Amino acid sequence: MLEKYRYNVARCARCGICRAKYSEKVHYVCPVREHTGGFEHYFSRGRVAVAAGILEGAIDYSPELVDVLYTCLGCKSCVEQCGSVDMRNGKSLVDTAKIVREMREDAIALGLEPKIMQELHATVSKTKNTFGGNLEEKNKLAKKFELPEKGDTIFFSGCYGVYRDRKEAEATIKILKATGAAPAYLADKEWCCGVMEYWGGNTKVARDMALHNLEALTTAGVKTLVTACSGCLDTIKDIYPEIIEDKLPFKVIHISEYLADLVEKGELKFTKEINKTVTYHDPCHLGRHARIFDAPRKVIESIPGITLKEMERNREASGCCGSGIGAVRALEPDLALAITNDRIKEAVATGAEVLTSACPMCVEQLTLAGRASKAKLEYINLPALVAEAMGL
Amino acid sequence: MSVYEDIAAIVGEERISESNLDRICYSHDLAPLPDDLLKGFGATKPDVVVRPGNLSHVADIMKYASGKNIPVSPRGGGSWGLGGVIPVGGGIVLDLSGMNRIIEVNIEDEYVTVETGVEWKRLTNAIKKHGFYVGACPTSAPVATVGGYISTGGSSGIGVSQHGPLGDHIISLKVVLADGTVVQTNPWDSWVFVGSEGTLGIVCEATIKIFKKSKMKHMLFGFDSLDAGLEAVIKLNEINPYYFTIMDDGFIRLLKEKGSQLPESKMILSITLNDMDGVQEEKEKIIESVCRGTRLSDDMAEEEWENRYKTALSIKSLGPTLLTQEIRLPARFLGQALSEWKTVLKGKRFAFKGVCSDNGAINLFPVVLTDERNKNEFIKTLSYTREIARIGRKYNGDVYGIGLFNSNQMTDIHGKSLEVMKEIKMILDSKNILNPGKTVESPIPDFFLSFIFTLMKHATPLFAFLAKSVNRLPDSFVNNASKFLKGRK
Repeated sequence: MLEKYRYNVARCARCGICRAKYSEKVHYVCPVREHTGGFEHYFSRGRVAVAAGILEGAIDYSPELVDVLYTCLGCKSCVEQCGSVDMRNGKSLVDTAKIVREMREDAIALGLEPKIMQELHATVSKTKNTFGGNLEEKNKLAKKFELPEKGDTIFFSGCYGVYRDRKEAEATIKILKATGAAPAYLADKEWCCGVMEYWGGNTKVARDMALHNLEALTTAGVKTLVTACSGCLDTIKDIYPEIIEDKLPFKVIHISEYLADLVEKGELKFTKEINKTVTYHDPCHLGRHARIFDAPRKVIESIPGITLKEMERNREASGCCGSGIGAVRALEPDLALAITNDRIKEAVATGAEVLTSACPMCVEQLTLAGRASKAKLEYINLPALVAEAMGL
Repeated sequence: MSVYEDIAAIVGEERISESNLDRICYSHDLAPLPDDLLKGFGATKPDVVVRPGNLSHVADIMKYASGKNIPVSPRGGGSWGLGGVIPVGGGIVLDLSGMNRIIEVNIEDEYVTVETGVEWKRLTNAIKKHGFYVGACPTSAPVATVGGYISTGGSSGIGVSQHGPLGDHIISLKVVLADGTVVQTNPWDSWVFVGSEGTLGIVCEATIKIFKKSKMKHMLFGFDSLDAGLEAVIKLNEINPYYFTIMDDGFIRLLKEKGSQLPESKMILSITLNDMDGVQEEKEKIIESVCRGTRLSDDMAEEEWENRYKTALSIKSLGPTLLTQEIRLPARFLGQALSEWKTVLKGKRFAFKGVCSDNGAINLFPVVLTDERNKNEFIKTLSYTREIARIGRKYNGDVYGIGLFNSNQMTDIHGKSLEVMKEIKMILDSKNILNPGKTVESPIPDFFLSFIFTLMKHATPLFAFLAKSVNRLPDSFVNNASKFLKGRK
């Protein structure tokens, strides 16, 4: 409900700093503003003005407004720039991604959900995963690696790891096993984390997923949950507590954090040199959402032979891959592609041979766009890269 | 054909919008005026919003608009707080921020030519790598556009106290006049358009002098007494540092409430020098001797500089509404004006922040915190902005800009020269289609506004009720009523 964010909406000073960039080469903050007509309601200040308009009763939810709402990537690039900050923690008081999410939620309540999103949410509700796949696939994965159902450390594959990028899930499991973590896996008891549903505004489905997963995880005796998906990570770590209005009784870490910890202790052993230059794309959900910037870099740099080259926009200032939690890619494919192509150009400009990231959705989006534009890059997910260097 | 179709034929459909969302987004700027009150000030939503891509788009739009007598309100970053970009009488809003090419950086002759939609921060970044900087730059540089700063006067900001106001650095402007004619100015007649708030022409390209970079030094002083601080400010104006800002104890307290580490003081002065070796050390010594307060650590001074674009905004969240005036006045009257302002604002949450200006003047921002969601309280506070300006004028100062919200004080501000201003406006824009309701005329006549302000202060609930009723009226009615009232005068 947008009403909950009345306080935050009022904190927007309309200064417009959310559209200006300090970088010397990239001049925009909001990729959507850059690739649409650039009108106000396509970036943060305008979106918050629309929210204020709704709260004041000057704007009603309409199909036109809903179309605009679903162009927000939720990348929080604007939130990073926001001048209306609490100086005690440096955090912005105007979280546009959240405000837009609330507006989507309200629009859905009025029956205005776009058809594609409706279908997606119905699929998730029915099949418990984003791609409408069979949960049996997860059992097969558990069987292949003889993963127990219960344990201290639980691996959370997410939908992508099983139905799209199996290499990522398998590499993560191999790494966890090889480093002595003895991971367990919920298999068919693991449902979609709910990231697309939550940010897409369908809180009900997201809540169903969250409550089921938390129940299954606690039954399995989880102490640490490890995932290789940045969407799953941020949702479980930051959104689940919000949904249950309580702290989580277990730790949630990303595989890059797990690996970075081993690197620090000097316990990560590589058997193979990878003599390549690599550039790393910060996923929005791992970076600006979950604030994990150093861990993946530490891991990449520890691989023998690899040189890490940063893109023009990196870390807090990184650019979104264009996927926008799947919503923007599904509803506005051309817009998404234009945004991805910018990122590909930046990656090519570094002169790196390999483009890696720590999120299967980003890697997929970047790979599709990069191959289509014939960019001279190899695309690999971080766990797969590490597994290769470990000789797994 | 409709206005939408006609203009779409000029600029292309992707550059024009008539969506209600855009019309609402483009009907205000940084000023926190609730929609309820906007109409009472004669503001209405634009009919279409256009984002032209180049100068010839602008020229064609103006040709079209003057033929049809449609009001055109140009807009840059929308980061001014006086409603200068709020359209009066509907019509077309021109969002110029899409015209943002840096056309030429000439290092030999030390100038830069840009389209005026470019933000200052982007321009300074582009010339920084060549070892140059601009002589005047607004404190809202990340979002303020070159055109916006030219149109709002360009005499308050970073660099101004050393290099003079922006108008001094303008070599040439390319301006589209009301009838669509394009003129190129020389340094002298450029001044006609500086500070004209988009009422005389639309500045589309600017050629501006740039300066070779030297060394920066940041200093920060805390004062135990206001008098010692004020004395230092007067003396500082003789030394012409690159940039300095003033915070009074109220402002410091607000910052501290937000978690700032600045020490309790009656006043804090943040000074930045930008000079050649030798000169700078000399200036630093003089400043040390005239600032009879405590010199704070260089780290803190650097931090102040780093936060130069953000400090003013960060306190907004305490309000959450921040009402401000920008008063330019001679530094030597600062003390007297401050004490009168404080008397008037007694009982409110207020603070003062000042930024250096040219010719020994200070641009002072009396900031009043309020809550726009509490309409009555807000309206009452709003009525003080007129009082604040009046006190400023008493001490040889005046409001820094007019926009929509100070248009009610037009006669007080301009005095006799208002007639001259009107003549210029007649010559350049006889149909009065360029940003109407600002600078030379108020959307509502003076006598009526005085009445409104009296109501605001003494019969707030009645005013709130009236404003709400006005807000329910259709835009066309408000436009006609405003025309009618003016006709009678």
